[in-house]
Amino acid sequence: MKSLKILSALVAFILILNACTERIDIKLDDTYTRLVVEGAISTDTTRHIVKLTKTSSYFANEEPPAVSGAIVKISDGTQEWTLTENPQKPGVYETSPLVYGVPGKTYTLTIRNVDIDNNGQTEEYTASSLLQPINSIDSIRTEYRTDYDAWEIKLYTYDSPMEDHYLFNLYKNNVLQTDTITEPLIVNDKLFNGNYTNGIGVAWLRDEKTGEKGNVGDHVLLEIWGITKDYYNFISDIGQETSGSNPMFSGPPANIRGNVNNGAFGFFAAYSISRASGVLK
Amino acid sequence: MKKITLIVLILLFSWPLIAGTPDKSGNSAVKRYTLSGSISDKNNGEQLIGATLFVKELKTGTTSNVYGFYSISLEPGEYTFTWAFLGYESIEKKIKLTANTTQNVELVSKSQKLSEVEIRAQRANENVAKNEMSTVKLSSKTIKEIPALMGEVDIIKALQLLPGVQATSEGATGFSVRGGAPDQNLILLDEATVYNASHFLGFFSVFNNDAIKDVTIYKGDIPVQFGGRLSSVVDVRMNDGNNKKFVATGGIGTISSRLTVEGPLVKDQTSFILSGRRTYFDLFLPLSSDENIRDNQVYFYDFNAKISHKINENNRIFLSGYFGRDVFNNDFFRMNLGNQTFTMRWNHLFSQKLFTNFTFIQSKYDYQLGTTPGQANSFTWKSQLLDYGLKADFNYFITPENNLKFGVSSIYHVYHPGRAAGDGDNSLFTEFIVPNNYAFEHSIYAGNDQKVNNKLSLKYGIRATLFQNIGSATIYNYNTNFEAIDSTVYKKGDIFNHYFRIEPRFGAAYMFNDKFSIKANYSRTYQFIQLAQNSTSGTPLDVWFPASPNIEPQSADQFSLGFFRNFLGNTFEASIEGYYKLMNNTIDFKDHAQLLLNEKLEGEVRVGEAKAYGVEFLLKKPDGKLNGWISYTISRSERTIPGINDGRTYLAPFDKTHNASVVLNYRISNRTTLSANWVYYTGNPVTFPTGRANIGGVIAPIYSDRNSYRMPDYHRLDVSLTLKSKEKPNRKWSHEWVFSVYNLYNRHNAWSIQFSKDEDKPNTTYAEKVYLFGFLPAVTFNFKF
Repeated sequence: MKSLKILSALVAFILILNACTERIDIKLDDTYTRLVVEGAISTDTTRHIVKLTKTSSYFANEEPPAVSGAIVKISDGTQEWTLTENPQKPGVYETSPLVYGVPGKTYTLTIRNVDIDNNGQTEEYTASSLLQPINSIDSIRTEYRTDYDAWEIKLYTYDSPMEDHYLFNLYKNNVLQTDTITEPLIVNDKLFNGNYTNGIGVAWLRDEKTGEKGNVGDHVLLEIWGITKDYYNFISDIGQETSGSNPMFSGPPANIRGNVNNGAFGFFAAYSISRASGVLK
Repeated sequence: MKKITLIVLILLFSWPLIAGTPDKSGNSAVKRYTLSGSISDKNNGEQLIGATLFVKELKTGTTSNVYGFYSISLEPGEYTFTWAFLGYESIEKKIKLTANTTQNVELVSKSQKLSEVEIRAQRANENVAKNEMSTVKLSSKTIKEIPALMGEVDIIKALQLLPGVQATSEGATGFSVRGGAPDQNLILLDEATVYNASHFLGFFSVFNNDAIKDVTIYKGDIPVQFGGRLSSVVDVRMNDGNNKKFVATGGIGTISSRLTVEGPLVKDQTSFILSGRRTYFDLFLPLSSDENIRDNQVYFYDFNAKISHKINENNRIFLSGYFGRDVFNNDFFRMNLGNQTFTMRWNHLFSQKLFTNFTFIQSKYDYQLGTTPGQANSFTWKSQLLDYGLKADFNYFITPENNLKFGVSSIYHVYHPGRAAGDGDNSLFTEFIVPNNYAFEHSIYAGNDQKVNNKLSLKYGIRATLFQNIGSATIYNYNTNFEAIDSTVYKKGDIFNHYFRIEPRFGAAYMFNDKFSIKANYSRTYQFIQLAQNSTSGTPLDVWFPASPNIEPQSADQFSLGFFRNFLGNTFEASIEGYYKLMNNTIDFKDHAQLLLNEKLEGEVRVGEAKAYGVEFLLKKPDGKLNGWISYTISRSERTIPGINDGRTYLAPFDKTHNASVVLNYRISNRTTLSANWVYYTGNPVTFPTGRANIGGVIAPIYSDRNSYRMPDYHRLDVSLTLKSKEKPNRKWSHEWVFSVYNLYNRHNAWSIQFSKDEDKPNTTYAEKVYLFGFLPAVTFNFKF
């Protein structure tokens, strides 16, 4: 629901009138190290990637330590693919470029031969995800919104009668604009299940953001992902826990919900992709 | 079965009525006569609540009730009576009591006259002598003297300066009493529940001090006539309206202006008061150079109105109401919200000993928000809660030694938790309704205040409540993972679930001597409705939800023990009170709970136990050139709830180990008063990150146990200077200037602490505090004519 975001804007408004910020020093304790998993398989035929790193103390202020030498496999119950570590990028494991996911199948990621807790014994981690189907996009249109100072990408398609969760990625001239996990809009269809989307805005090119400003004639590509509820929650949690909190609208901070077992942090996602493109005009 | 219980209860409650009446029992053969009447302010006719009547010869007395009514029954004879009230000249009179006598008394306020030597009324040791603890009453005059945020005099902020009462966060009107949650406070305005006592996202309270007579907070020792909340009762009484002459009072403040008119419609018989307030800082927004600010509309307003009519000595009626609204509009977004209360009361004297009040109450809180219509994403969202209540309260002044209270009440709750829908044909949103809740809350109570002898007083009572969930309703059934498996639909009018709960209350006071007493108290309270909120300071988006087949009523058992001692001829009042509170069926919400527009809200609730204990110190100098108080509380409040913090005990969000406040007023001259208050408390418990993971281009936090860190300690000094105009006997007009400064030494108290990623250095994180109010001066001009 967007209203909470709007309300946060309301708080922000009051803060403009009153509040100030100041950097402070805080001493934080450390916690034990966990494996961090960031992996996905989609309906695209491509190299699917699983990235393994480790957690560090909150003020560590350095690159996250990569986890090398793991045995990483993805299986759909009948077929199994072994991922190979990219020699240039430690901790990044890839499938062959010919692999693609099929909607309706459940994919399982297995990670072996890692010893995160340094006790001399290796641990095994698994995560599973159902690959959700998705309706194809009828069309998109673009409009410059003077009230937002942004180009708006409007979506025309039907929402399926099932419970759906969507993520919207936007490319401008083949460059991904929504390039961190918290930037794409994610929605669930609780309030519009089965409806025609009527050209609702799902992605924006904001004038004020460096490199993002759109110009007439720019090519735009909208990617819509059909994701699971768990992945939706994972992204939504990250958004909540990294966007700052205030005593008024935030609940107590809470750990991000992932789908990897054995105490690891992160998510192995499966999703289907549908695309539509246009030109800003 | 239910019927039998009810009959037993009625018998139980009527027993003290029969047994306690001396006229009917054989032992008390001596005939008694009753002296009764009302105690009011001579200047404006306002009834005085808690004024005292003292009988010199018997060294006993009574106090006026919330309607200014008193009654005392004595054996025939001649007595010296003294009527007194703090801040007023007392009146002494010899009366030969040979028949039932009505004596209405008007006291003269001594606020205008400043005498160097304070003559204290006979019963000034009331705080020692009265069998009442954990209770503080503040008059609107006292509240007005406390320096206020932006000059807005605020009842709730004044209460937060008392021991055991703590603001939820900087500038917030939400408060926690003895470690409880903000929704455990019953806030009453002329007996009507005020569900959301705040304006402007909680920074100001809904109470306009000009319309208020006084406020009493019960932090424990909750009188038997109140129920329905665990932690406290805040009883706010509106002025009845001046029944002597027309008076207008008002003020022009930094953010709002006020105007109150009151006067007699029929002298000494019918009076009215009408009070309004509106903020106007939004009028300055268009001047802002920032476009985002310029296009906003932000304001609140409220009205209080009351009519009091005295039909005759035995009958009086009161109609009172409150209406307030907060409005926020801009290009994208609209929101408006507010409270509405209406109270209709009829005071009736069945006899000089039996005072009755019948009340009809309506309370409402609603909010609406939405976006600009006509877009694909346009929507509106409405929520409302509504109470209708009927009450009958009886006050039976049997003898000076026994004062019996009993009564019944019924509340009908109607909750519309939320309806969201598209706005306009273009909108893609379908209507979404969280099913309504309907419930009845019936209560019956009886309690007696008994003076056993000159040293020992007892107080005992019982309250029984029947809570009923009524259809139409959709109740989800949950499995052990709190996932809804199916739902049951109940027809309109079906009573499909009920809870019957009994609340015993007991208190005792023992006076070692005139100046020193010990008091003990036990009270059990139940709460049948609660607020779905997991933020600390509270939002306007309140969703109240009732006990149900899935959620049992919350309960609290509180034990208090206190020592009360007055010094220097009652110039100083000191008290030490300890409390221990055990709470059951305490609710909290799971991590990442979805509380708004969620028809399966009950699946987000986790239930467990809570415990709170502490010691409160209060030293008070009620009047004089220099007056005020110093309070200090040391306390702890914790919860143990399966499903939260892995079932381990954690600190309640409002746990503040140390909490101190100093409130001082110094009358430099008849026209000049200097006031200051200083507050200090331990920072709120918070959850901080102890680790981090890089994922998807962001740095995600990994958290400590819940509430295992603390915010930095909070402290702040506020001051104000009041300059009054010269009093001239034949001039009606008077005015005053109030200059105030909030946070005089400009401490940057943390409102929240954020952990963020440095935009320039992608692997660097830092902590940042947000603070709201630095040094903040304000000017208010008040007038009266």
